[in-house]
Amino acid sequence: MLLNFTISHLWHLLQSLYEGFIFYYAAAIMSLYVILAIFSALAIRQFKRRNSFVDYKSILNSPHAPGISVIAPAYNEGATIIDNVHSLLTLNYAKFEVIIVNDGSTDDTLEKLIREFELVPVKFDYQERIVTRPVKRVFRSTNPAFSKLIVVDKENGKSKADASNAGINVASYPLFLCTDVDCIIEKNTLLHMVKPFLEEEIRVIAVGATIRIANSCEVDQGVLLRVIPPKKLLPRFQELEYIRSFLLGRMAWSQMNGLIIVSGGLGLFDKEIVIKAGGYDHTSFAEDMEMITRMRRYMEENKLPYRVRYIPNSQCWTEGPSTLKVFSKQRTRWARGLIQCLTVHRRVIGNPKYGIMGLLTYPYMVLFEWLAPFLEITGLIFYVVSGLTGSINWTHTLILLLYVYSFSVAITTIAVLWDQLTFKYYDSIWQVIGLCAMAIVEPILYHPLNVFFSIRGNYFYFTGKKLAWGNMSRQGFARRQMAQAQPSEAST
Amino acid sequence: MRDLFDVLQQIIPYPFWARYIAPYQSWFEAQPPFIRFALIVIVIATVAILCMYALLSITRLRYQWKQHRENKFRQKAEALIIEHVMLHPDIDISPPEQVALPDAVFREELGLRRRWQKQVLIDVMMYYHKNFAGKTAQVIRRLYIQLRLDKLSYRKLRSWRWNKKIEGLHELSEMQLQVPEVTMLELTTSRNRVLRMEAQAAYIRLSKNEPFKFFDHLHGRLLPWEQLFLFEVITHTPGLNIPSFSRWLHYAENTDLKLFCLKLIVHFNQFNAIPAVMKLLEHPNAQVRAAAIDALGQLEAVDAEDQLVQLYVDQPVECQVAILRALGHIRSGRYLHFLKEEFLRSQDYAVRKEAARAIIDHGDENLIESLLQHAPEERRRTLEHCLDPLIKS
Repeated sequence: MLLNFTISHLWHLLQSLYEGFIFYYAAAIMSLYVILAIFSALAIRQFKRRNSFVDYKSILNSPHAPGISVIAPAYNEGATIIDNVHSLLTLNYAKFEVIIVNDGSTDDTLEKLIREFELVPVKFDYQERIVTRPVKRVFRSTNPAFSKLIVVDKENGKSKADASNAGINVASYPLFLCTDVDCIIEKNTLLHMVKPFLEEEIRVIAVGATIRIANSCEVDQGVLLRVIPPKKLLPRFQELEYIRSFLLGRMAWSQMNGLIIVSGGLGLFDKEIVIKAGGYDHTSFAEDMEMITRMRRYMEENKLPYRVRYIPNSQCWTEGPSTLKVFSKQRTRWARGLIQCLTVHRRVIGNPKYGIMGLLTYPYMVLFEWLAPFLEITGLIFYVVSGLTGSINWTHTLILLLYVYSFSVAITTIAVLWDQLTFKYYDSIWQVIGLCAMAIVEPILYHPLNVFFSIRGNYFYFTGKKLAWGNMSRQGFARRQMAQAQPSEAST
Repeated sequence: MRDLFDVLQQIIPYPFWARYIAPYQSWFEAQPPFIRFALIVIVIATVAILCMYALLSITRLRYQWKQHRENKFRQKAEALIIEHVMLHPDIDISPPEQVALPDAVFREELGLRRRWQKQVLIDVMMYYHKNFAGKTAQVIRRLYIQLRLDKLSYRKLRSWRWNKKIEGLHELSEMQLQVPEVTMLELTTSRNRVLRMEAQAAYIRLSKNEPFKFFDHLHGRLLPWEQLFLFEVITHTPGLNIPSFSRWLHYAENTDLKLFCLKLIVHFNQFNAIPAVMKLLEHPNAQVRAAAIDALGQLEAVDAEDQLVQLYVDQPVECQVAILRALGHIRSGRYLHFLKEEFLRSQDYAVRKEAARAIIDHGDENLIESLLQHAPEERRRTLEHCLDPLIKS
C-alpha cells in the first residue's frame, strides 16, 4: 500500500516536473524566435534602405574591386557540367576566375570539360597551403573567351571539403566564393556579396546569402528564367524551411554578429583567414558550420575584430531532395554534422572568450537545435505513458498542442511575409498563399520527419556507424518549353 | 487575469463580448496559469496569422495595382517625350534654350497633380537625360524646370529623412541643377554613410569651383566601397577640374584618403606627385607604404628604385612583394641581380613568385634560360608557372 503510494507520488512529481520544464523550454524557444523575428525584420529593413540607392556599376567597372575566385567542386556531373560552367562564366563581375575541381569523377566530366572549353594542361605551381588529396593536373583554356576558367583534376577525396580545399590552394584572388557546380547562381551574386566586405569598418571574414529550392523553376542552360515554388510536397516544405531559416534565423544572427553557418552552397570567404584557420575539415559532416566556427575561433583567439555577414537576397537556387530516401540521407548527415561540430568545439559553449558565439550561438545550438528532437521524442513517450496510466488531461493536452502548433504556423508565416514584402520572387499571389498554406500542414507532416532523421543522425554518431557522403540523385530542373531534363548524379 | 478580461471588455464590442467571450471567462479563470498562458498565445498567434494573410494579400494586390498604374503612366510620359522633345522639329536647328516646349500639353495629358505622377515623370526624364547627350539632354532639363519638377527634388533635399535627401540629390545632380555648396558640404560629413557618400558624389558633379573641397573636411573612414564609388564618379564625370592629388598626401591625416589619392594619382598619371608619393615610403602604416610602392611602380618612377631596394630588408612581406612588383614595372635593369637573388633566396612563396614575375617583366631571355636550367626544382616550377602565358595569376 505504502509502496504503491510512493510510486504513484513519485510519478506525479516527475510528471509535474517534466511538464513544467517542457512548458518553460517551449516558452524560451518561442521567445527566442520572436526575438530573432524582430532582429531579422530590423536587419532586412536596414539592408533594403541602404541598398535601394546602390549602383553596382561602380564595382562592375572598377579596376580596384577585389578579385574573387569562384570554386565549384564537381563529382560525376557529366550530364550538366557544361551548362553549369557556362552559367558560372557569365557572372557579372570585373575580376573573377572560375575554378572547377574535378574530384576524381568516374564519368566523363573531365573529358567533356576539356572538349568544350578547349583545355590544355599548364605548368601550374600548386602550393598546398591546405593539405588535400594529390592534385594531378591543372588545365586552362586556349580560347581567350574562357580565360577565366581553371580546371583542377585531383584524386577523389570522398568529400566536398577536400575538393574545395584544393580549389582554395589554386585560387589567386583574396576572396573566394564556394558553391556547388549544379547550383544556379544569380548573375549579380558576386556584386551583391562582395559589398559587405567593402562597406564594413571591421574586417568581414565571410558573407552568406539566401538559397532557395529550384525544383520547379524554369531553367535554361544553367540560367534561371522563372521562379516557381516547388510542386512536389517534399521540396515545397524545404522551400518553406529555407525561407524561414535563411531570412528569419541567419539574418537575425548576422545582425547580432553571431552567425556560424554560411551555407556550403553559397558563401564568400576571406581566403587569408580561411587558410589560417586550416580550410574545410574533410572529416566533418557539417563542414560549412565547422569552418566558420574555426574562422571565428581564430579571430577571437587572436583578438582580431571581425564580422560574419549575411545578405537577404536570394542569390542561389539549388535542387532539394524530392524523395524520402535522399532526404533522409541529407538530414541524417546534417544532424550528425551538428553533434560532431558541437563535440569538436565543446570548449566554445558558454565560453566568454569566444564572444557572442560562445555565449549565445553555441548554447542556442545545443539547447534548441540539438536537444529539441530528443525532448520531442520524450514528450511523445510521456504522452503515451500518461495516456496508458489514465493520468492525462485531454483538454490541457489539446491546448498545449495547439499552443505549439499555432506559434509554429505564425513564425513560418512571418518568414514568408518578410520574403514577400521585400523581394517578391513569385509572379502570383496564389503561389505565395499556396506556400503559406503549407505552413499549416508542415508541423504535422514534415516536422516529424526532421525529428526522426535528427535522432537517427545522433544515433549514427554515438554508435560510430559509418555514413558515406554518397551521391544524391537529382531530377534536373524544368527546362524552358518544359522539356524532360536528363537525370544526373551529383555529390551531395 | 480579471484585469485582462476587463481590458478586453472595453476593446471588444458588447454583443460580441456577451455572446462569444463572457461565457468562457469563468472557465478560463479556473485553468492553471500555464494553460491560461498557452490560450493567450494561441489567440495571439491565430490573430497574427490571419492579419499576416490579409497583409500579404493586400500588399501584393496593392503592389500589382501600383505597378500597372505606373507602367501605364510611364508609357504615356515616354510617348510625350519622344513626340515633343526627341522628334521636335526645332531640336536640330535651334539652340536648346529657344526650342519651344509644350509644357501645357504635358500638364494636360499627364495631369501631374499627384506626387506619384510627378515622381514617375522625373524618373523617365532622368533616364532620358542620362542616356542622351547634347541638345536633347539640355531640352529635357529645361522641360524638367518648366514643369516645376525641380521643386519636388528641392523639397526632398530639405526632408529630414536621409533616403529622401539622397533621392533629391540624385535628381538634382542628374539634371545638373544648382545646390548650395554649403548644403552639400554639410551633407558630405553626415553620420549616415550612404547619405555622406551620395553627397560627396553630388558635390564632385555639381561644385563649380572646388569639387574636391570636401577632402579637406573628411573625418572618419573612407571605406573601400566609398572609394570605388567616388573613383567611378571622378573618372567618369566629363569636364571635371582634376587637381593635383599629391596635396592631400602631404596634409591629410586620414589614411583612407591617402590610399584613395594614390589610386587617383596613378589613374591620372600625375607624375609630378612622385616626390610626395616617395615621402609616404616612411609612413608608419604598412598598408600605406605598400600602396605608395605600388603607385611608384605603376608610375614607373625610376628615381625611386634605389630607395625601394634600400627599404626592402626591413619591410613586411606585403611591402616586399609590392617592391618586387614595382621593380618589375620600372624595368630599368639595374636591380636584375637583386631580383635574381631574391628569387633564389626567399622562402616565402609570394615573394618568390613576385620576383620571378619581375624578372620576366625585364625580358632578359638569357637570365630566364639560365634560371630554368640551374635553379632548384622548386624555384624552376615557380618560374615556369609565371612564364606560362595561359596562367595569369
